[in-house]
Amino acid sequence: MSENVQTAVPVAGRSDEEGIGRRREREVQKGGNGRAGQALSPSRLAIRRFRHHRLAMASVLLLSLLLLLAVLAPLISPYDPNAVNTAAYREPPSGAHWLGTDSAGRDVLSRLLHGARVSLTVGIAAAVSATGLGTLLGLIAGIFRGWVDAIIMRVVDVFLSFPPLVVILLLVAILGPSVTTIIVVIAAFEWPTACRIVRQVSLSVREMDYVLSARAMGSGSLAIVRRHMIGPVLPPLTVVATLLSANAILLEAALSFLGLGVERPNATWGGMLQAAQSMTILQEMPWLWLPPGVAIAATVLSINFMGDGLRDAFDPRQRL
Amino acid sequence: MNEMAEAREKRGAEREPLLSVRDLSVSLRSDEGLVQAVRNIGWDIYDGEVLAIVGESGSGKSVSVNTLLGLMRQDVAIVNSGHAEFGGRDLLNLGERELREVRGKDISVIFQDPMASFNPVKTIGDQISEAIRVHDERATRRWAWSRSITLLSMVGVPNPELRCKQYPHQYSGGMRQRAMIAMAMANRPRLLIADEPTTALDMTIQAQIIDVLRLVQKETGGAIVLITHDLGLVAELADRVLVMYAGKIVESAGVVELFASPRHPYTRALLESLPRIGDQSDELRSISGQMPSLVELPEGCAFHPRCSLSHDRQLCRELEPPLQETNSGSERLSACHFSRELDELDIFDR
Amino acid sequence: MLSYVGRRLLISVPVLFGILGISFIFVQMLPGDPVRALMSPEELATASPEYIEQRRSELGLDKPIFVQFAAWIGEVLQGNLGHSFRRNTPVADMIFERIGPTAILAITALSIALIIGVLLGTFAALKQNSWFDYLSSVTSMMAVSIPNFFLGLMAIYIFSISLGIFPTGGMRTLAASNPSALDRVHHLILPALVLAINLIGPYVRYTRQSMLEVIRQDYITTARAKGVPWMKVVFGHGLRNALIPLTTVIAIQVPILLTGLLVIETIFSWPGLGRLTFESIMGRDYPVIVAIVFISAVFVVLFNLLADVTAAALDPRIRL
Ligand SMILES: Nc1ncnc2c1ncn2[C@@H]1O[C@H](COP(=O)(O)OP(=O)(O)OP(=O)(O)O)[C@@H](O)[C@H]1O
Ligand code: SF4
Ligand SMILES: [Mg+2]
Repeated sequence: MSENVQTAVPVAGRSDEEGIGRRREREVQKGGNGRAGQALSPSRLAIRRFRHHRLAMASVLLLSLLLLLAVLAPLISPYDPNAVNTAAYREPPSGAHWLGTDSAGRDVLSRLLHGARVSLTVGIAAAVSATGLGTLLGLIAGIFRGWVDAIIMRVVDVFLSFPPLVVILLLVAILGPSVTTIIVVIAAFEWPTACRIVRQVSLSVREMDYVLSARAMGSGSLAIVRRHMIGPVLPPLTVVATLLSANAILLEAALSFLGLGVERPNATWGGMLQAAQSMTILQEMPWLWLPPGVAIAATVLSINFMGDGLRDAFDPRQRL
Repeated sequence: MNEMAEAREKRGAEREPLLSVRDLSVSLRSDEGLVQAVRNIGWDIYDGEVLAIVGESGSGKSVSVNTLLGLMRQDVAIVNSGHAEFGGRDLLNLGERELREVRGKDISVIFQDPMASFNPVKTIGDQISEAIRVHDERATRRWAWSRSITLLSMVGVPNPELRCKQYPHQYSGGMRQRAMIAMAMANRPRLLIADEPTTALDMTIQAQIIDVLRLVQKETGGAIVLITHDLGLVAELADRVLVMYAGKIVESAGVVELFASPRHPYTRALLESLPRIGDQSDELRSISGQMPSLVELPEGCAFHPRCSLSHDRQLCRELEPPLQETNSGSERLSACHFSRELDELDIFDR
Repeated sequence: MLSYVGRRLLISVPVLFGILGISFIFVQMLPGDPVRALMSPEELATASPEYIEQRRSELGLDKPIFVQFAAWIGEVLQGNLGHSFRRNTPVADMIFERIGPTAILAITALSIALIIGVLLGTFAALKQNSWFDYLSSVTSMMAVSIPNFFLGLMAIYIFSISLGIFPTGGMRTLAASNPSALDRVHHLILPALVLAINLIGPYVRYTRQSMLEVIRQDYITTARAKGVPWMKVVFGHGLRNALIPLTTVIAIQVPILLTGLLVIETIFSWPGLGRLTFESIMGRDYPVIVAIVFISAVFVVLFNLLADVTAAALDPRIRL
């Protein structure tokens, strides 16, 4: 698997701290006459920078289209994705079946469209749950610090030590494959990334003047979280959530590819690729494995480009 | 632009300058636009001379000297014009290969921050040895190492054999700056550029470093370009002083004359901001106002928004004063329309 | 240096304990009787119910869960990782048998990825914002986004089936009784390359970022001011500094490498631990999977330790 999110953890976190530091430095240097640059709010600036990121914009377009196709899949699919048709066995692409048919005579295009539903559901749901759990634990660690922080961070280390696909395979094998299991299991092993980032940001925010003064004024932890932490945590968290969803999609695809995905006969991209483990199919029927492979790659690539664009938009200095 | 050259000619060029900079202009690309960091400056330095360049932060001191050695980032700095004659060659026209021969051999640089100027993962001995071996193919590793030890002991680093094997973080700030000087001296350069060599150090250490610099100069007989904010350092070491403001030279004078009677309101303000004996505050009193943005320079004299002499006169607002002799035949140059009025002020002061 | 290693080792203890804890939870989750899982089939065949009960109390399985945990740790420390459900061998032996091929593949892939990644990242940094920089960042993004199983299938399709340059799988030509070293290398190249591609992306990215920071440092200017040629400055002064943060990135990538091994070994029929994992999952040989999960996690911790030590070796400031 190619979880670049994993690496994004400490390094992105680190440069994020630098980013904040550097930004502060610049404002100090600019002194009085630097105010003009602040006329645009940071979020407006970020949006504007994101819009200038051509690859990211193209990716957003592609992902929106994909989302639309996935939602409309039951309406626009030319065939029932699970309808077995022994008459149409491994047919190459034709007018009737644009992308041909598989070993059970099922229409590849229809399966591809329905597979998008699984991939996107797992991607979004797993990323949202992992981010939610990670945020919660990260905030707790950042606010209470001390031994609470120490324990949570050790737990994070423990979870990050397990090679994700292997554990997830084990758990899915034990618990039995289903979309829900896959989502839960992926989230259970992907939250530490979000947790680390949130903790880092909340620790550094804590030290900032306005938070210190808010604490001195007697504001409670929750009020501080609501008022001062959400803002700074949000940008890096968005990036992490994006990259986590790319990861989740890859993990789900790998699970299905290895035969432990969603219950059969439901169509998934990884499951469709599984057929290509047979030499005859790999060699002679590229229409069976090329489309789902390209679909996964394109989706994950788009999400990663989008994450990249977001990262640049929030912290342009990182790219310099 | 060429006023200084003319002045020199009048004086009779009895000696060839070691380095002669003419009409140097450098712009830098930045987020805000093109920064006019150095604008048409020129100066000479002679063998054995200490030339100080002073001016507040951002006035273009570092850029003007780093450009000469090709040390500016190529994607940032644009040299708009200029010559820099050194030993019959124009430094600004040399290829990278030829310039490399000059760097560290004929001209060495000491940077401000001794903390950041050494590679943290190599021993001091390795780094000094490298400076030697780059310019001397025949120097063996061993020979360069023993020479490094000698150099360190010359600049007063105690226990140099051990110190050579140590890493920069094991040195104190003052010791590191000594090592930096030792490294710069390694090939007995004819010109040493010291870019704020004492700024990062505390007072007592500063005095020691000044002594080392003085010793180095005696030893090598070379010239030193001393860039600094510290007028005390200028008074102690320099023969001549250039005052820079917003990328231009605004005054040029011998050190004694400059301190006795500044001929530019900016210089004057600098001198006035010096802490005096008995002054209670530690803080350096600074000149009120800010240097103008070098991206959009104001018309007229760059100093006029802050100038106490200008009284908002039209000439100051509209016409940029050229760098010229303060009195005909004088070697002192000033870029102020009303430099002569400062004479009267001086008299008035006393 | 030694005390530094000792201290880092000490920090790892709670993490190792956590890994033991989670692995024990997995053991508890497994279907079937844990006593039987720890016994060999021969033992089981001859074992009377009394003997099983005796083993049960020996193992403390009738005791509270924490005592059981302690007993289980005792077994693990003695090298008893349980017994295969399927084969008449202790799990530890099965793993030991497969570690060699996996190590060869992993080390080759890691070396390829590091050399290419560091070189690409360095030149991308030196030529910042050039077409080369742009191309290398887009390419490395693609490298992390294409799922490794799809990449593996395409590699086999192109290089093995269409071009016939490389074998489709295995570690050596089976017909040859005593295969040459060349034959082994021939089999190694394709899987190692595919595995490396997934790792390269982050290496390029972080080398570039770290190099960009490094070449702006004062000591780089100092080296140039000494008259050192630029390439010597970059590789003699810059690279070592840039590599220090990269050690962390490599360590964080290890779980991804392990995951990659699972998929690539499966596709290329490479007789290593990854393939063993897949076979065990297919055969529901749970004790083997749990043991592999456990060992992988421990290995990740050890590798992190190694990365810290390497960083210390590269950076004299950490050594103290
Ligand atoms: N790498 C760079 N990129 C963009 N602008 C730069 C760069 N280096 C310097 N500048 C700008 O060029 C101008 C001149 O800088 P320079 O470093 O020469 O000033 P200085 O007189 O040496 O100041 P200091 O006393 O702080 O060292 C400043 O406005 C500075 O902001
Ligand atoms: S020219 Fe005018 S503004 Fe400039 S320094 Fe002289 S008096 Fe001041
Ligand atoms: Mg400077």
